[in-house]
Amino acid sequence: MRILLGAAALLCLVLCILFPLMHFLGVLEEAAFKQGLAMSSLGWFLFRAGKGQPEATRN
Amino acid sequence: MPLKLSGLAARMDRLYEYDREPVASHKLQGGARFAGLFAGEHVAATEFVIGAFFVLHGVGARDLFLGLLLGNLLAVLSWTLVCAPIAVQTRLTLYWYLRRIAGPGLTFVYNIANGFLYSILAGAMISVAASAVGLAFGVKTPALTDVMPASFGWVVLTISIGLTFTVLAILGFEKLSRFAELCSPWIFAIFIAGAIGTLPRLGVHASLDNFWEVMQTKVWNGVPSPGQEQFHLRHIVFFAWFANLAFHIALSDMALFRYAKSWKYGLYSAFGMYPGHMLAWICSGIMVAGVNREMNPGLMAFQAAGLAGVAAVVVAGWTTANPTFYRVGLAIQTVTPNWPRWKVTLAVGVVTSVFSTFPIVFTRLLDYVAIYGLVLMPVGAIVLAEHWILPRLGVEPYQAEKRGLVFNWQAAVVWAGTIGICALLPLHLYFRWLPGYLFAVLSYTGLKMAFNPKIPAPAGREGGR
Repeated sequence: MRILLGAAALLCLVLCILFPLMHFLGVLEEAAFKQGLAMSSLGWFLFRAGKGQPEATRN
Repeated sequence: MPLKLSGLAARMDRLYEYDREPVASHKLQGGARFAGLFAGEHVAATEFVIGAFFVLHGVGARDLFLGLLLGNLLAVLSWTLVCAPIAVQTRLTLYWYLRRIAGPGLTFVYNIANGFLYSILAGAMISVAASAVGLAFGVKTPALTDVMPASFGWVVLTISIGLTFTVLAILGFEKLSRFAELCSPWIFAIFIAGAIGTLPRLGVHASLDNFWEVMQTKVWNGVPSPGQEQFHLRHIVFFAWFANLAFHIALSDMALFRYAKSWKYGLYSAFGMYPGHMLAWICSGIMVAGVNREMNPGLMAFQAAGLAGVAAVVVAGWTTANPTFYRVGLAIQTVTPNWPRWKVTLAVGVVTSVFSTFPIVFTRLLDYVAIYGLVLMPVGAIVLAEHWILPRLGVEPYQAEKRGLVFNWQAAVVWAGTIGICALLPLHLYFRWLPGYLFAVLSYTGLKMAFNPKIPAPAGREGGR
């Protein structure tokens, strides 16, 4: 389950870059790219939070 | 007074007790861990402001790219050749190593100074977050020339955000700080997304054939905004180098590198400097050009990346402020030993929120970053001299520990003297730390040679070489 959630979070992160790239290439309008970016950001937060938290790294 | 200081220092020792012992060999971490840590830690809310300021200071495109390449390389080398070797040899945090060198009293002063400076930086981060939240409420972000709070709305907004961050920290600091670590890759993605999303507005063609031309004419065009000083290659090189001076030259990152298997792990800091600082500063530069150079991080991120951009500015501000409440809280807890943790966090949060109401903390952020490093840099010079130079000159190191001194007066004189000399040097603020550092190393070494006992020669070696 953790692997699936991690993969979904990673996909959302990739989408965060793909949406503006599609806007730059003229495939998406500005409003659509920003909406897509907001949705993929939300997805990333949900999936990543669902996957669980890493151990503390620094005191 | 010395008795009182030693009492305070003893309280601080108890707070840091958990990391008193050198790191055991089975606890050492692999290189990937360091790469991830550096990549995650060096994309914060400050990056939205720093990269944008480079544009406002009228740096040319060539100077920017070359300066960032060189300056970040110098920063990586500082971690690799200065900080990591000392950390790997001692396996201690700076707190405990400085205690052996400067005595618990001066270490206490260092911690308080570090906490104070850090909380001003956190105040700047709250201001940055406020610029984003203010968009929803129509609160105007202060102008670059503002020093004092310009409107009642700004004061209410910054205090509200600061107190929200504080309450969140009180409710569960540890869980939040771990969650904050998770946010780093997303914040980084939003920087890149915002820059790419701004390119069409700047007129960059999808074929990228005019990319460099647009960068040179519309972003880093060599023309400073009104009232801003012109930056050149040397300013960028030095800024990129000293942006984390407190961590590498001033050795704060001994806390991290004491877990490294080798000093060469210092090279992993490149993951924080190149994909981190360099790329984030370039992206925020492109974003500010997209809003006609208006220094408003919230507006800049909103125009570039919509609601996700606004969220990134707020989250980046929060993830920077959150650990500050903990670090400063530890320092404060020493003087308020009977206060529960929530009360300490609340006190730190309130002070930091008050700092955030003053626009100067973020409109002069670049200068503040320089001052922050400059104030702590002499401590790194003192530790360097004690660790590497004194033993080679035959001067016995760690006298404060061996003689049970609460306060190493030579270290205190060098620290204060270096700051005084740096304040008087007829150089640009960005270039003062380097001569100051050399002065601190030489003067501390000189004082130690003049006043401290020499290492006794081993028996039977008298009259040798």
